[in-house]
Amino acid sequence: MDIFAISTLLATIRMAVPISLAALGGLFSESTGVINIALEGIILMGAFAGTIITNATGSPLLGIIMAVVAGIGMALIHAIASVTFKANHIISGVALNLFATGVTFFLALVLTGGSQISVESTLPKFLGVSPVIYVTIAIFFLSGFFLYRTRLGLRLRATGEHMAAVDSVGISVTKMRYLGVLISGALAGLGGGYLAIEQANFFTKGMSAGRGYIGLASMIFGKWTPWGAAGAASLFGFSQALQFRISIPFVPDEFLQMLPYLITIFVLVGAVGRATPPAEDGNHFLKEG
Amino acid sequence: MNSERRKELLFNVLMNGVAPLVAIMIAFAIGGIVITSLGTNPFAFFSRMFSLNFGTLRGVSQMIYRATPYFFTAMALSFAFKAGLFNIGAEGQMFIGGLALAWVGFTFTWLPFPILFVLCLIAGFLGGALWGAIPGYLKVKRGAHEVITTIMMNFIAIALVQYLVQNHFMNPNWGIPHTPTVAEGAYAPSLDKVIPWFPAGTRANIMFLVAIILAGLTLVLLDRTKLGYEIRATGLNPNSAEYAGIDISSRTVMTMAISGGFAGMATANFILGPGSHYFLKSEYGGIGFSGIAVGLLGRNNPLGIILAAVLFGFLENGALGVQLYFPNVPRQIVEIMQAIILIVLVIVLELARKFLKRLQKRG
Repeated sequence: MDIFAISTLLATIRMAVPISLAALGGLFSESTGVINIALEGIILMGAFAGTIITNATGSPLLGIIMAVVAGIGMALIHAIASVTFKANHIISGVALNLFATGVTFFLALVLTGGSQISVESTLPKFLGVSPVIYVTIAIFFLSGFFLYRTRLGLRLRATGEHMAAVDSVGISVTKMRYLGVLISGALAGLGGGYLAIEQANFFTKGMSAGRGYIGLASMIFGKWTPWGAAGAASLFGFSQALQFRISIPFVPDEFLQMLPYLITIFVLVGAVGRATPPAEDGNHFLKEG
Repeated sequence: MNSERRKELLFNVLMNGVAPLVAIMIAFAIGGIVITSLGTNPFAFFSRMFSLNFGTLRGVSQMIYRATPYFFTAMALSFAFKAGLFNIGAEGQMFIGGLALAWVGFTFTWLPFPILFVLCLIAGFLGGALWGAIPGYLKVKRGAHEVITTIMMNFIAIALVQYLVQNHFMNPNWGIPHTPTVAEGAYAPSLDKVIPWFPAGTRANIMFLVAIILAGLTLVLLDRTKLGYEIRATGLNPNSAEYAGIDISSRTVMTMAISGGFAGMATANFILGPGSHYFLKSEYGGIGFSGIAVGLLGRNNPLGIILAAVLFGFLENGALGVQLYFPNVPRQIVEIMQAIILIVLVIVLELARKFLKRLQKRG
């Protein structure tokens, strides 16, 4: 049993990519105070759009780009419902997840007659791994810089902490929130595209399998910081990688399957210290007068 | 005074009547556009769906059969809502409760009819209640938000149920893992045994009536008892509820337990009602999640939930039947429509709220 071998490390990174992108997406959205559980459906939509476009054009790069676009599209609906129309963030997210499940299955049947579509990636690999992995790492560096070192990043985070203060200095809370939610859609969409095109080499119905939710848990575990989220996502990636690599005597496979979800709950119940979400999480901006 | 009442009536009509109807109509319109794009006449499609459901009493009966489980999972959502809790775990609670009730049904096989049937329902309730109470407990003890924990509990339930069925309660007779069949004492009588004018030989069963009775009891519990008052007070304002001496921790756990219990009984319709009589996991997927949409569409009140559940039963039963006539339209079209109903509904509700506020300002 070589669970500490380099192949396990690589598998961990591969598994962690979609989760960490969802986690970072959740972070951008919640930075502005918008809870985004639609990440789950966005990953699914990204995976589907990526697969279809890759197969149609023969270009996995275009597929990945369309996955990002599809993610932004889903996020736009979430922003319209929960920012402009001030719908409950969680209800809007649940609705979008149901929508993604239905639409991707439906379109898969209409377009191919089955619920599983295989896709081949022809993207060149660098040092044996998908270039999307390097892109993801770069995105994390950029996000850390953007959120903590730029004026716009500060404004995004301020929106999540105190909307009225942001509004009082003439910054549009609505614009900040749209920006945060749309970035989250792009990131989770990228994660979905990677999942189908680069990791699984197929799309199948419901293939997001909780990655969006685990991403949110990673974000919480990582205390709403990019590097914390990346670390937590890696842990979840490791637990998923284990599932395929080991079979421990007397421990049924189903219990290994439960592991990421159990860890998430342990994390949430504060086995590793409390974290404070942005103060305006889930709130609506109601301007007086 | 009179104008106050008029305002309240307007509020009710707009929020509980017009808004859901608009959402449903828009969903049908979008569904129609999608069907048209597949080269099928949407009017022919929907009218076929309508005649399949309402054309005969048999159709109505099948529609009720499909609607019943949604009723339970929607009640689960709405009950938790009353205490300000968001239970997204109906899916997992349904699986745990379902296996629990099947287990009682195929284990205590010597028990006679009403006893075993009732025991099965209690087991389903308790199984779901346990699965619901855990997130409630984690919320009050450790501050873990119930939205994420209930979602995680769904995945854990699915894996756990799969493990239990495959390793401990496997019926070896054929392929897809399922449990042994429940004993006859656990069978839920079909509706025609209770309502004489109902057609025989359909799967609609008394679980539909059980759901209605439970909804009635829930109303009494919430509106007429101290516990119900405390649950509602916790939902309206936890701080003032606590100040008034209500133990909001225990009320939170209890609410989640009752909510989970409702979801736990959802599959009794399939397992105890006429049909296969065993627990087959793959048959029930999604009913817990759709219950969220049904509960919200029903505006969290029992009458509304019946109507919303019947609509979902209409869509599902129609989609199953209509495939024979329009095989080029996958039945997942109704899943898309169900999601659209929910998205549009939340937007329309906010528009209605804004409109009412503006009206109020004007005087």
